[in-house]
Amino acid sequence: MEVRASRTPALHQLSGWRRRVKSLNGWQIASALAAVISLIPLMFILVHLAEPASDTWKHMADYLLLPYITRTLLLMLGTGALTLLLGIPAAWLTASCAFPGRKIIEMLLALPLAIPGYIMAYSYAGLLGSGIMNLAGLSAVLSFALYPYVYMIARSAFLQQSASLREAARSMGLGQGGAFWRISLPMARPAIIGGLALVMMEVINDYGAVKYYGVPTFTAGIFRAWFSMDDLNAAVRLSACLLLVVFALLSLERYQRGAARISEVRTHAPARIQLQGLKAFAALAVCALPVLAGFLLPAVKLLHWNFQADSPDYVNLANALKNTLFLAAAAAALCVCVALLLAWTARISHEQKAHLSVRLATLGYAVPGAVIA
Amino acid sequence: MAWQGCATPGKQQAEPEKVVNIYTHRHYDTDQQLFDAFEKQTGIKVNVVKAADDELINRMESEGPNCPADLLITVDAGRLYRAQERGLLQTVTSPSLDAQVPANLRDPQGHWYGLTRRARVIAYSKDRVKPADLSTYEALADAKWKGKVLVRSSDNLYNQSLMASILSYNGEEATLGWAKGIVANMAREPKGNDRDQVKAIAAGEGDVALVNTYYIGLLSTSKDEAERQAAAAIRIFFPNQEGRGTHVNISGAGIARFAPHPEYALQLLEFLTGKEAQSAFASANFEYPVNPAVEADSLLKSWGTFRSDTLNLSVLGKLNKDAVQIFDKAGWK
Repeated sequence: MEVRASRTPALHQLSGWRRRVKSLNGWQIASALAAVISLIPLMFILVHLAEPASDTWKHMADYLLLPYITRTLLLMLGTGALTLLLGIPAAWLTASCAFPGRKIIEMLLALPLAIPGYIMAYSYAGLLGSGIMNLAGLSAVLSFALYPYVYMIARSAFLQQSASLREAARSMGLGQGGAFWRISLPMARPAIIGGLALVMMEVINDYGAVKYYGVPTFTAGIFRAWFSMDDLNAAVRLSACLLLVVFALLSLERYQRGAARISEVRTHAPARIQLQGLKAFAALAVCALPVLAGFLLPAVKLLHWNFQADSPDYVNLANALKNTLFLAAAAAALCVCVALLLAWTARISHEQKAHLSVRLATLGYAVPGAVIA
Repeated sequence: MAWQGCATPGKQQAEPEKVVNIYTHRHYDTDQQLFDAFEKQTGIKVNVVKAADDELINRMESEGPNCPADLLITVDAGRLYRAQERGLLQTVTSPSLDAQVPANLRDPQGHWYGLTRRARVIAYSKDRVKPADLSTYEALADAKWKGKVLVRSSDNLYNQSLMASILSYNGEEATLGWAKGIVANMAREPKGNDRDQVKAIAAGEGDVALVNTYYIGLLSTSKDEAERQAAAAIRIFFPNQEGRGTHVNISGAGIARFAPHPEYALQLLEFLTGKEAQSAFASANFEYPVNPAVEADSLLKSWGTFRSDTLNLSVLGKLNKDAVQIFDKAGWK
């Protein structure tokens, strides 16, 4: 890093810049590109924010902004809390215990991810009537659809925990419950909060269910400004407010993770706690409940409706299925490629800028569909 | 941009491919059957893209001259007006369209034409409400209906267009007063769709609801026992018969400005407003035909004839934004 005296500062700067460019390899450039693409909607918003506020925006700020904020936050809190209640016990039981039916229920627990929140909301309204069509009901219904995020992430965190730690805890006199509350749960906390953040972003993202249940949230507001009021300016401003919330959420998640970085070396596969009799039955029941609420009940209602339809349109259904599968496969392939790229870049380079582009690219997930659209 | 003339089969030199592309918000089986029939009669293949009005309009705008759509079909006159305002539609004139679609159900310049009419009526509990107590939309804001009025959210196009029509007759101050009165009378916070409002009357949650006629037709012929029972628990009242008439909106269509196959689009438009298609709309989907030569379905006729508001429907589009702001000011979610 020494500078020869004969070089002018400008030249020095130039060579430094060149050196830095040379040190950028193809991977880093590609990652930066991915980050830039996922940030295009953000740039768009920033550019439009510079325009003066429209009358519609003033109207919305006067009449709608506060209710949108309150409703969105309450829905996030309610749904978040319920996904924890549904997801964590099932995750711990399937990861740490042995009981009859565990292997099947372990897979079934992820199934609700296959039912979109809107369909879930619609089928529950069909099952239970309009009594559940309010904020509390919507929190419950959305948590049935979204708990698998918490379940899957928490489960893999529990599975990775070393048996020796738990055994040590037991040997020091902690009971099964004590070991869970004082060792397993705190160690899985960063993962669980990550899952929770995904849940909350899905909640923010929902449009169909909130509209049908009459609980208009921020996303509904963005569409109202954009479509009903035909005002992009106001929609952009609402999007910016929403992004602030999302960034706050992400920072919280990051802060959490930063504060508790736990690494461990796995010694041996943890011995599962053998459950028998009533305890095994209770464990199965705790795990079966989310499957029942998140998959079986809505699926039965949907099938019921299908059989009631005059002549189910199988040709259209097949076409729709084909399109869906194609879109899903294409999107999945793209996601995997980008994710691999980002992970690889993060792995081979220890530089701040690479991590920055990886971090920026993950923001893409958090940007609600409404904002991107 | 005006494109004149009838659909003459002779001029196809530029476009050898016989297709017509539709962007539509209508999602009914009847429509597909009609497109199939059109294809059989003319040999013109019909391609369909289904999405909500607003999404289709934004899509056409961003596709610009490359937009493949020939015909835009919406379920609300206000949205056709919006497409027209953004320069997405071209004008057409055709003697058969003029004969098949009454003047107030089409754009004066020919940007768009109505396909079906839907009346927004008052559904009331046959057990708890006497029809003599009902009169106008305005009267639903009377304190005597406190806790009894059911209506869906203000995000809904049909509500927005109803509000726009009231606004055009009564002015801003009176309309805001009306909206506040309705909010004060609501049996519950707005939620669900029109069918859910009818079900709520049947369940005793409220006594009167603002709904579109064809939903009641669909409910009363539903395969679902509960839906048929809900329809049986209510009767229909056509409001404002002494004055301007019941609010009527249309589902309608306009030919896209950059349509690659405008002749076929016009041919399809003439077909859809013709007798055969109009009776199909009426009988299968319980919509009122626009074509005066076609009778309404027998179920619709059993509700009686009514006087409909003859306000030119482009007004609904012009006043849409003001109507939405009144909803917000009144706290109508």
